[in-house]
Amino acid sequence: MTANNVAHLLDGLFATCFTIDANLQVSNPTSTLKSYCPGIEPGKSLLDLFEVQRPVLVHGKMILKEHLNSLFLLVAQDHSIALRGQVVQLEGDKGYRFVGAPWLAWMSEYRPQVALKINDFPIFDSQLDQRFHVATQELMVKDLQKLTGELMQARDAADDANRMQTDLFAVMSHEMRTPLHGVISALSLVGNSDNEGEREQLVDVAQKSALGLLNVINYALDYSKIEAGRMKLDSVEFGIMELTRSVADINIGKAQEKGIELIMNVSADVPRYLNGDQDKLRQMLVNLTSNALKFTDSGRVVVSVGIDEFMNLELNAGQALIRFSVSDTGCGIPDKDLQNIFEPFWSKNGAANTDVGTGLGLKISKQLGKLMNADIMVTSQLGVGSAFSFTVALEIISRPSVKTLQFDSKALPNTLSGRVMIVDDNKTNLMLTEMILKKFGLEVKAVSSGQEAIDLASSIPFELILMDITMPGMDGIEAARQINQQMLTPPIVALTAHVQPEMIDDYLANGFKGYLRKPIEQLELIRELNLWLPAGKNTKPLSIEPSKLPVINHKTLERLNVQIGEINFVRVRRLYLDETKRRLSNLLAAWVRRDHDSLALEAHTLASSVSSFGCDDLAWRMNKIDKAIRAMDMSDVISYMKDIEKHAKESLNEVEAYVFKSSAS
Amino acid sequence: MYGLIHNALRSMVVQEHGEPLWQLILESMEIEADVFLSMRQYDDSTTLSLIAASAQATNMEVDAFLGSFGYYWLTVFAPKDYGPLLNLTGDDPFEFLRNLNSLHERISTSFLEFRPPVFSVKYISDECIELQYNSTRKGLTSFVEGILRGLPIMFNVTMVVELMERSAVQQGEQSLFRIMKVGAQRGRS
Ligand code: HEM
Repeated sequence: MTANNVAHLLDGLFATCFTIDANLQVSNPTSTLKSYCPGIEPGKSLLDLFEVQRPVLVHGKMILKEHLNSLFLLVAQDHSIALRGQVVQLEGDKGYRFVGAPWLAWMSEYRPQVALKINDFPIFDSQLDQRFHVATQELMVKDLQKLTGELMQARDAADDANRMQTDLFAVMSHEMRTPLHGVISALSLVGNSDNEGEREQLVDVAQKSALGLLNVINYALDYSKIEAGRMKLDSVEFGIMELTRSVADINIGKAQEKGIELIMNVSADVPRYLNGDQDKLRQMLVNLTSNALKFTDSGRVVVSVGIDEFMNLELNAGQALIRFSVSDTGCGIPDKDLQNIFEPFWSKNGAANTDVGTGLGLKISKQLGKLMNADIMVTSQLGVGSAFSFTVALEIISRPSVKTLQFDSKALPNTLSGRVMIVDDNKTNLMLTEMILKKFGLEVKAVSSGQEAIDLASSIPFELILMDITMPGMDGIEAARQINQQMLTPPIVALTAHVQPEMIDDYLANGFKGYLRKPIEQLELIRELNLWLPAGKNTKPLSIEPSKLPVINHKTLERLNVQIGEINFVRVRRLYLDETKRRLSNLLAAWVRRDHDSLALEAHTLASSVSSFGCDDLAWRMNKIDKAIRAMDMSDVISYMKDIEKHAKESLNEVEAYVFKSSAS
Repeated sequence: MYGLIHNALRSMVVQEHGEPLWQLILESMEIEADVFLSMRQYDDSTTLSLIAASAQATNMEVDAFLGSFGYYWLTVFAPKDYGPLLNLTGDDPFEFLRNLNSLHERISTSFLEFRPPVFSVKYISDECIELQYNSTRKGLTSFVEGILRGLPIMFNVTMVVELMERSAVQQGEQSLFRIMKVGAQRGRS
């Protein structure tokens, strides 16, 4: 290949080339090079044209043949261009040829205005690729910085949450220790005291402290539920008067103790019955009221309920905006503290709050309000008092249903008779329930496992079994199932903390006749015991009118038989019995669920359907139940519900056994 | 596609509609982290659903959205970080388009799993070319169209861009644009 040919080949590969002879004189530049560097004229010396940055010249001398493997970085003396490349020796003493491309890094730095072309760079020249790589890596660094920033934020948030929890734990422990100490010391003193009056006082102290402890724990549970986002809104019908009354009931003791007037003020235009989350509203009002009482030393605390006419909130049809406010004549809150008071551990002197009732109570109320779209507002004037208020949209109920029945326990017998078994693996619960049951005059047998319960039930008869659900080994459901397989089985009532509707259906399906929510409430217990047990000696039994009607009215059945014919009668009777049994179990389930609306509905329907089949006694009882519910008389409902299953069976058995005796035969 | 593309998308949505909307888009796709690493290859389906979700969130048809994304890519995003590279690609729109393949080829040495589009340019006259776009992906013609509509801004010229054909091919999409320079040309802006 001739030198010319080689030069031609090289020029095809590289955009910027020129020849250098032994005297370092430059010739034959490519057209691309000439266009960037017009000063490059044949005959000029390399060193005059370019500052040679690489290779490094020793004593300013350039001996090309020593640099055949060197990187060349040349910067035009007029700074028109910088080149990056190498020299190759041409054949037959024709000198050397520089081959290369613009030095991209230098150009971008010092001559960015020169428009280089992508094709100035040979494919195998990685300058462009590198440039892209670097630019992209810079982006990567930015991405990673953003990512670390976010991770750091997440870490800080987790740290904060952790710290909050630790703080909460510290405050809670402190708060629990005080009342617990009260319980322990009061009880230990009881043992040493012979004085009846003193003992009573000590027991009272123990009881109050224990209630205080329960309060703290309830706060903590609520708080953690809210924090975990597990609080859900409920919707129930409630009476506004009942709501405010219950708020007053809970706080009146404290108010009287401090000599503060507690006033409930429901304005006349507030609908009497509403639908909403009554429990959460009550909790908010109780928290705000007890907080107000805490910071008020004299004067009054007023809880007012009115229609909010100023709030601009979108309402659905049939809703009203109800404004609740709790104002006091207490010490007031300085302006600068107003934003902080909803923080869980805020206290007036900035130290961790030593009163959880306040610290968590306000925070919980705020969160509960948020769930209902209600923001709690505070206004306060130092030395004059504070007012907390919030507005909630609630559905108006024109006719209240009978979800909650008035319940006067005095109307029920205060002693009962019969033998009751109680099953619970928790020894303390077992002992306490046993004591309560004995106070009713009952004979009680307490056992602590499902197996013991089965064994005992098969050897002595019981009138009632109260069965804990969650027990190690055999649980209450299995134990109840096995007991129900025995010959004569008493009603079994579940003791459980799980009272969601689907759980209750499950208990019913497994042969339980009712449930009691743990911890057991006195009134609920009375209701359940009265349902299954007869009144005790020397006690007025439940005063219900006895039925004067026959179990079945043969005339009705005869008439029916004649009207539709015997064959049809038999078929219709089958349908009737099935339908009545189904409705009856609906009725019993509604009763167990405490769903008094459905109970009334089922009783009402049954009353008319059973009377058409001559079950006059059953119809009469159903009517009584329906009426008692409408009259909201719980003790009457209990009285008539008592033994309803037995009476119903009796009636249905008679219908089933009925044989038409034609007068002709 | 590379995280780079996602980040460009994010940049556009945030710039035009604010950060909350972008968060909403990520939420709707159940993507947790909002950081895409520019040099990481993400599944094409992620890219396409990001685009679809963004279109929906901004109340646009997917094609219209892709168009504006292409325009944003060329006129705002690429110049910021890849300005020098764009500048090298050509002095005028036609030269630029002729070098698009070279541009994407150079990128390939850094982006190892890169699947670049392939363009071919046919001169109809000095003032008019036909550009064929070939892709292994379906559905991105409007993105190209958006980029082409950004070219006149970049070069400060007047041009008419016309989509002549768009067809799905066995694996991907192929479309043909006609691009015409109009009036006196003024050179790069
Ligand atoms: C500095 C400028 C540019 C850079 C850094 C760049 C980079 C990229 C990258 C990283 C991808 C993703 C490919 C993959 O993940 O496999 C891509 C795709 C794409 N680029 Fe570019 N690009 C640039 C300019 C352009 C221009 C000017 C066009 C003009 C039409 C273009 C058209 C496309 C198209 C249509 C795709 C989608 C891939 C496909 O169709 O299959 N790009 N580019």
